[in-house]
Amino acid sequence: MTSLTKQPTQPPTGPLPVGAELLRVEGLKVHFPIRSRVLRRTLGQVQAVDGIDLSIAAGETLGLVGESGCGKSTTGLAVLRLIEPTAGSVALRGQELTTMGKTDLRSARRDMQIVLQDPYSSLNPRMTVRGIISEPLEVHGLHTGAGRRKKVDELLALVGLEASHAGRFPHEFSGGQRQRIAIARALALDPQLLVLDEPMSALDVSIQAQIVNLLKRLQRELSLAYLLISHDLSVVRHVCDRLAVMYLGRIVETGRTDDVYNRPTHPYTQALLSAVPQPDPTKRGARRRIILEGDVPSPDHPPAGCRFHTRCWRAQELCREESPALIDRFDHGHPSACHFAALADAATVPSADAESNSEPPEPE
Amino acid sequence: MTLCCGGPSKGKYMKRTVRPRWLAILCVVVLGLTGAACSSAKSTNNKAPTTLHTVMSEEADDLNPFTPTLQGKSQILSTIGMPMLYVDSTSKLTSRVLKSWTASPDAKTITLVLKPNIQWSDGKPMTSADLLMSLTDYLDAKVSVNAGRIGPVVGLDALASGKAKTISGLSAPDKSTLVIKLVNPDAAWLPRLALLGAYWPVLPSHLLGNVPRAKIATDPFFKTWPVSSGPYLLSKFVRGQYVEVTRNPKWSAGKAGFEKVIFEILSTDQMTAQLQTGEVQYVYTVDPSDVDRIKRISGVTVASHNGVAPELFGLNNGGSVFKDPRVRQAMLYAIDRAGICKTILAGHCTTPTANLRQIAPSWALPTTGLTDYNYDPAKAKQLLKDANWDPNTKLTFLARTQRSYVDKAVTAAVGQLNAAGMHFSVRNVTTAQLLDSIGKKTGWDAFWVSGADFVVDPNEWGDYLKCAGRYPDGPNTSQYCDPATDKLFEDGLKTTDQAARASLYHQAFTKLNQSPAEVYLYVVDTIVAYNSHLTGVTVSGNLSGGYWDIGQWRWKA
Amino acid sequence: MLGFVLRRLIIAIPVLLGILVIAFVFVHLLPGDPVRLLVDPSQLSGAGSTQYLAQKRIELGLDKPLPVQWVLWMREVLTGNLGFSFQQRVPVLQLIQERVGSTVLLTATAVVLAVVVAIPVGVLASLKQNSVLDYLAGATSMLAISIPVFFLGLLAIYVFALQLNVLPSGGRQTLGVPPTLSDTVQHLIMPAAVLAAVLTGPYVRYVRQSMLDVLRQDYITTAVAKGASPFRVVLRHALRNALIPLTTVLAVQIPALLAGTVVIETVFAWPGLGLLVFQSIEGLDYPVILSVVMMSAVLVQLCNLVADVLAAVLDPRIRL
Ligand SMILES: Nc1ncnc2c1ncn2[C@@H]1O[C@H](COP(=O)(O)OP(=O)(O)OP(=O)(O)O)[C@@H](O)[C@H]1O
Ligand code: SF4
Ligand SMILES: [Mg+2]
Repeated sequence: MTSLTKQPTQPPTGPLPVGAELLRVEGLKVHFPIRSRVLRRTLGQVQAVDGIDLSIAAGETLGLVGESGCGKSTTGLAVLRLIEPTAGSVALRGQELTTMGKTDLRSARRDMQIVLQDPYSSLNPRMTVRGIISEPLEVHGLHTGAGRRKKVDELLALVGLEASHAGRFPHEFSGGQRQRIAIARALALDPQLLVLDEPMSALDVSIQAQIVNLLKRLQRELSLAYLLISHDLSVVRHVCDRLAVMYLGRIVETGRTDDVYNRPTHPYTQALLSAVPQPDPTKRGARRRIILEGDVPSPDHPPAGCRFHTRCWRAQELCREESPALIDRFDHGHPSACHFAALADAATVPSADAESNSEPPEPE
Repeated sequence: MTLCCGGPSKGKYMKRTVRPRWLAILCVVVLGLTGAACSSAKSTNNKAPTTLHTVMSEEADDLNPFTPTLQGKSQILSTIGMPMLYVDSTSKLTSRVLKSWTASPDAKTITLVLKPNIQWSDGKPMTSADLLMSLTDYLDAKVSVNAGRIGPVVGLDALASGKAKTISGLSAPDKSTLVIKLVNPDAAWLPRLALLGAYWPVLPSHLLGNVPRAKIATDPFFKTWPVSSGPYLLSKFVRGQYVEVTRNPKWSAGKAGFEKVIFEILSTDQMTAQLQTGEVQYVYTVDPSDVDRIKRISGVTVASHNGVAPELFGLNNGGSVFKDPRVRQAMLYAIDRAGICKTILAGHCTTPTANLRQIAPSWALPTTGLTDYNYDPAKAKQLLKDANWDPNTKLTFLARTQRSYVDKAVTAAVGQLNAAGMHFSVRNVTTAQLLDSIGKKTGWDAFWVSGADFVVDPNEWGDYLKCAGRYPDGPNTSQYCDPATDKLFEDGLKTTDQAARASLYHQAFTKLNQSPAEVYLYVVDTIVAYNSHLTGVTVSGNLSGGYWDIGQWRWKA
Repeated sequence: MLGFVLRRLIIAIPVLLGILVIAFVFVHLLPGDPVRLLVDPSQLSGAGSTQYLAQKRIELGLDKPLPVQWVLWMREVLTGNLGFSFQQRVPVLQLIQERVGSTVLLTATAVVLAVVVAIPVGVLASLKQNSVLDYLAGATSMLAISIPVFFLGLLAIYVFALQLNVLPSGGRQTLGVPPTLSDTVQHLIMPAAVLAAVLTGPYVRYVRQSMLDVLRQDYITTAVAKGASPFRVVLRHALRNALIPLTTVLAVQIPALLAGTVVIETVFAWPGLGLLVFQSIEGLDYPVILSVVMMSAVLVQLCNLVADVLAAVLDPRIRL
């Protein structure tokens, strides 16, 4: 199956070997101007993403987690240049995307695709499934006639749909099926990177699991790299190799998933993880749930210093004045941005084995 | 017995055209403000146009002389047909068909004699048989809407009851003579025939003689008029849009000036615009409020003639409100009629100061002993007081939206009546509602109306005031009834002796001057506008006046 | 779909019948007597005219009881004649046929013009939201909506006929010469453009709003992500979806639009249905009023049906 989907559309440069750096993001900023209604004067900036660094290796899954509004989707879109970044660099396979011309960018899109949260809105209602999936091929002039048909049929099979569905319109499918169509479309160009912006959160729990398993299988078979945006920490833990935790437009902690889960060092990460339900009743009592107080500050006027200080129970004077750098303070290989970073007590966070393999298998 | 219609003011109650008021107002604003720039009528080229484009004020919804008549139709009919008799611009009876028209001294026998060599457009000669057939059809009330509007002819009863197939009182002793025997003496019979003439063109008996009278009104002849006798022949009739006529090469009175003439219906602003662009070359009629604007277009001539009928407030004389003549006199003193004429109608009018609807002929009008009702509010109040007028009397004025100057005049006059202590509230009604209300004779006190023709024969006014003619039977919408006045008008018909008639009418008009039946506000001039290259236009105040001499019009480069 | 259309047509029959009954009762409730309106009071002549009017009343069937009149009128409807105009003395169908073409020509031209202008402007305004162009488009359409249409018409006549003398002031053709296409076009330009100007404003706003709604959809983002050209994204993805509601609005609006041309027809002396409707109400011409009401009712039903069918054809999510 892998060979079938891969062979006809070899990207010009070919897939990178697993483990090689595929995406590198440095100092990415996305600021949305706030303008007055009438005179269109710029009154301020929504600092949706404010200087983040990321990297994803071929075949790897990076999870991007954080509360609603912290800038996850904006990051995902900016990485694919579906939103123009305000500053910073995004390099895919070493090619700088932010300065790329329109034509080059369009061909670069073959390597990176996106799957969005709402499968009801992400499929054009006036196009058939075949039209939707084959459009990328058409746009990039790949395959013709019968070849394109065959490719679509293969893609449908790949995501667990039948070729006979191709003539139907999106509204004739369930949410999970639609998300499969969206994934098939994203795969049509044989990309190496998929940005998955909460691809499960609009679906029923049972369906979510199927999609998770589908994504995992596809990654295995196609050596895909994922940037998985989610606020479902259990899914993230289950799927991701590495993790980046965002708060108000910045990354506050990043590292290998297990490291972050087991030894969170940033108070925000600790708070997040403490909220994950503990399925093992024997461990429930042991875990201290950290309840964050106050609302997330508005990204148009983020707090000075550490952006988390308005809600942090560990905040000190320094936190209000100086913004903490994202550095590895404990030599754990997972840096965090906190002046007073502290390795959390393992007991306060859920254990890894409690979550794994709890999803039902993906039906074929 | 009555007479109608037309005059400068386009029908009395019903006018089947749309000239929404706001258009005229806006036109004044748009075109008036920029009037300085309203440069000149662009004559399309210097060469004489072969087609003349004219604007009528009223639509002709068909060209059938038997169906209810509007002014537009009469104008077309008098262009394509020849009336037996008509009224010229000096209100004299005239004819292009008849050599003579006479009434016997007892006013009971009428003799019409055709001119020699009058021919139809197919070359056949016009004879007394044509006159006989035409009048027989026109006088039959079952087929002809205007039949009853002229004094009865001997034998009409027998025709109506079905006992006879012809009218015994009509006879043609020779090829050119028609003799008409009247039931009652009727000195106004010929003037009446002249006023109806535009609706009653002579019909060709060689084409229509065999059509049963019951079917004549629906005969296809009247859709196309394949044969007629006027200066132009009908070539196209497009309902609601235009009528096209083509020169009649066999017209007995000469050669018409244009190959084609188009008659259109246009709104005031369209008319003004097209006059200026040269798209139309003749307009009948122009509202007094538009005159100044049109005068500013160079290359356009505006010509006018005194009108033939006052516009007036009809009063509900059937009720008790206006019983006391002093109340009606007070109304005349209360309204500044001269002021309305001067300011609202821009002076394009005359004021009937003695409040006589009949404004000509002069022999019939008294010269002494009349009260002139000049604006005098103090006198109005005094008269009301003398008449014990209750200032709390609630009066209803039925108003219809009309041309802008009418609305303004009505508003001004009603305001002045209120100031004098006669409190009218204005109710806006449609024509249908108006007729409904005045038919019921209650629920109203006054309304505005225009029209008719009061310059040819003094008997005309009588028809509007007779007890027997009270609406809905006749045109006496003011429900006026004074048997003594009726008697004077009736006697006035019994002799053709002008001096004898004059003395009777003087008495009648003096009575009506003292006991006003209605309030005559102003007499609007008949105003036409035309491209200055057009010559031969003589404005007439009369009903078919717009086109009565169209055969004489020429284009002078 | 066919079943739906048939069902709707069948449902429409009682609705139309109901409307016709109501309209019939309503016109007879209008104050006034149509027979009395046939002859101007100044032309009345006692017995003669009384006899004439009595005969007219019988000829027009107005002497019969109302239910009988209704049945007679329905028979006229079913035979397609639509009755006989009281005032104009010809079959109503003929009156309507004489004028409907002009009205349809004017309206259709205006709608096409308006759509042709509104789509690109609305699309550009939505793409460059809050740009100068967007504001300009918004302001212009506000202006066009708030200026009374007759004023716009007169202004056009003033500029193009009187000052520049490039277009005829009014009418549908130069009278007295055989009609030609270019002559008709010249006469059509101004009234159609003025009507279109009035329509364009709202249409631009529909297109813009509809486009904004669609552009917010995720499938636009994914289309860009696929590498589709901006052209393709706007035309194939955004516009094709944005036009669905516009089509419906257009179809549903058509009856109102036809009614709204009355003013334009008057200003430009355009020989359409407008004047006929006006006159028939003035003259209590029951058969004409009823026919117009009936035609409007049929048109409303039809346009709604067309709107539904069109929506279903265009939007696969809608099933009939
Ligand atoms: N086009 C835009 N213009 C202005 N502000 C924007 C725009 N898009 C996003 N924002 C703001 O940027 C911030 C980040 O939004 P973003 O959608 O990236 O958050 P998110 O982390 O994806 O949230 P969620 O979990 O709810 O999807 C929010 O405050 C949002 O209001
Ligand atoms: S820097 Fe200070 S405020 Fe920020 S997370 Fe660390 S302790 Fe809390
Ligand atoms: Mg998001």
